[in-house]
Amino acid sequence: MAYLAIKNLSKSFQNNLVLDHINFEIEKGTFLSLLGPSGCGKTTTLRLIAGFEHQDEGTIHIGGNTIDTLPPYKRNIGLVFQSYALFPHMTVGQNIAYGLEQRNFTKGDIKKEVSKALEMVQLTGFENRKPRQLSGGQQQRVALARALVIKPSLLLLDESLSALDKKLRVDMQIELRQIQKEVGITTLFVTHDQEEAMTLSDQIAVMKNGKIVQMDTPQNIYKNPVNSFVASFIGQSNFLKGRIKENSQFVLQNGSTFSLPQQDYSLYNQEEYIISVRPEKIRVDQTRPSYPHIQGKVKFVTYIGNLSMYLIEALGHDIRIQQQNDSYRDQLKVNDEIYFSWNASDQSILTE
Amino acid sequence: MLKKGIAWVYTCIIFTFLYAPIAVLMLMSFNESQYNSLPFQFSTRWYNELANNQTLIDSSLTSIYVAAITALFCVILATMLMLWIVQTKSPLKKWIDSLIILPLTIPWLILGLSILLLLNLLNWDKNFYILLVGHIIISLPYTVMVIKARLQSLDFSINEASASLGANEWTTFRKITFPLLFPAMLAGGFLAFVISFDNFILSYFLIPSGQSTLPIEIYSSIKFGFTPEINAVSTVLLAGTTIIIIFIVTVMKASLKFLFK
Repeated sequence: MAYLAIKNLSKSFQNNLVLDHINFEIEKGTFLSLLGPSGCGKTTTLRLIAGFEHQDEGTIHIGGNTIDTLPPYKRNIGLVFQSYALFPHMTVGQNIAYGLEQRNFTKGDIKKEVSKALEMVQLTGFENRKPRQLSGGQQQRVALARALVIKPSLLLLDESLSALDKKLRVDMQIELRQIQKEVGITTLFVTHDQEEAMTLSDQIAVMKNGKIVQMDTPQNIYKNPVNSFVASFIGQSNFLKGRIKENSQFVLQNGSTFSLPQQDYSLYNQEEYIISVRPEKIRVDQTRPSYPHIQGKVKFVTYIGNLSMYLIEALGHDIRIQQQNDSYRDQLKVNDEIYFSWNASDQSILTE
Repeated sequence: MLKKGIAWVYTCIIFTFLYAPIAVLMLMSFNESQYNSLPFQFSTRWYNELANNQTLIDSSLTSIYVAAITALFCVILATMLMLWIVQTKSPLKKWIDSLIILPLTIPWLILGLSILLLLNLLNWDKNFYILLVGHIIISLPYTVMVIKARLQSLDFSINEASASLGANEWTTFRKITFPLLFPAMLAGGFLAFVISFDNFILSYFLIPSGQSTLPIEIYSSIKFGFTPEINAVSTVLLAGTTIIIIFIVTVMKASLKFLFK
């Protein structure tokens, strides 16, 4: 059995099913993000694992043992809350020592462990400050040190970086990942921020309506989303809904037709499909190419610096295209007539 | 400029209105005259008489005793109830939350009368415990409001953080909740003390015969001929309360500073 195994976990609040028989397993040392919009059940999953709520059905195993019957204080799980939840009446040192005191460490050992933990999060010399005297990033680090110093069997992070401003958040992401790898601790990170999940995780579980929609590495999820929800939640995508006809023709719901890139489409029947293509995977030509393409007109240009985003009017749809602003390419202008296409390997053919 | 002047006059009028009677009372307690009349002649005569007036001392002690027990019960009850309320999902929560505050809206007169009626119906004698229960009912809402406000301002996840670090419920209460709640418990207890100490109507209905509280004693002595001893005992109590308030504010300031410096 894997290190952390969640089996058939279900939870309802007042007849409202918030977690619907989810299953997943991860190996020791893995950084898994539970990613999804609010109300998808990710926080409930975390609270069940921490023991703050009790599941209606299912089991949770850590290291081969079930923890279902243990109260929160016997689970030995490190937690970092969104609000950090530092004890306001204690100093930084006392906050970090708290978990060790519960484990009956001697005074000398506590002192040693606390200073080691502070060194790990680069806050040596802050022992005697109160949480109020620290910046958000520093409080975050104290919360992380406090959770890790007890050598937990699992680290749970609940939207832990959301309260920080953007630049600090990116720094903390890198630091968090480094510490996590150093300590080698199995980590579960709950977030609604797909960028954060992509940056930090070995694995991402995308959740929706109490179910795991897809669980895979960040690369695979981005490249091969299982449905349009995942494709639009992780990054951006263009969606074209219609039917695949013979000769690789694709007929959209509004009747317009175009040729799909060369590929064997015999697997697909007469059902409706959604073609999903990422904006940066679309190739643009300003002269009519010989391979299958779509003709369109530039409607709107957004200049981001290294990138430009174009909104293209084609086939009665708005298509988003993203291009590098390098020296080999001219920027497109509004009302430019263009021809665009993509490789068969860059499209996902989805059923929902 | 004119506006400022008017504001000053207003402030003076209001403060005079609020505190002049009390100042007069305190002054008169040091006046020789039996009938609170002028000219003022300094004397500590009434304080000496007070020291010999066993009825007045006894009723004061009864009042302090009742108020202290009321305050203690209110703090314990309010703390337990509110700790339960903030974390429970029970459907009873809504009811208890409003029922506990409700006595604020019931006139004390009616409450006293109805408790008395109930005693009659049960054929019970008036006793000290019933008096205490009455005082607790009317004081509890104030304590609850103070403690609830404090609890709601605290981040509940610190309790969960404590649990995740290995502390059971009792340790969490001892090391986290209690220290953070202490200033509010002190303030809530003091409020309950004052409400109970001050109460005349309910005590008048419920006090067992042969006993009396200070408000009852003052009331009856006014009826049977006022002596400046009442001024003296009031001054002593005012001084006592002021010292307690200064003490509590100091303790609260110190603990708040300790928490949030």
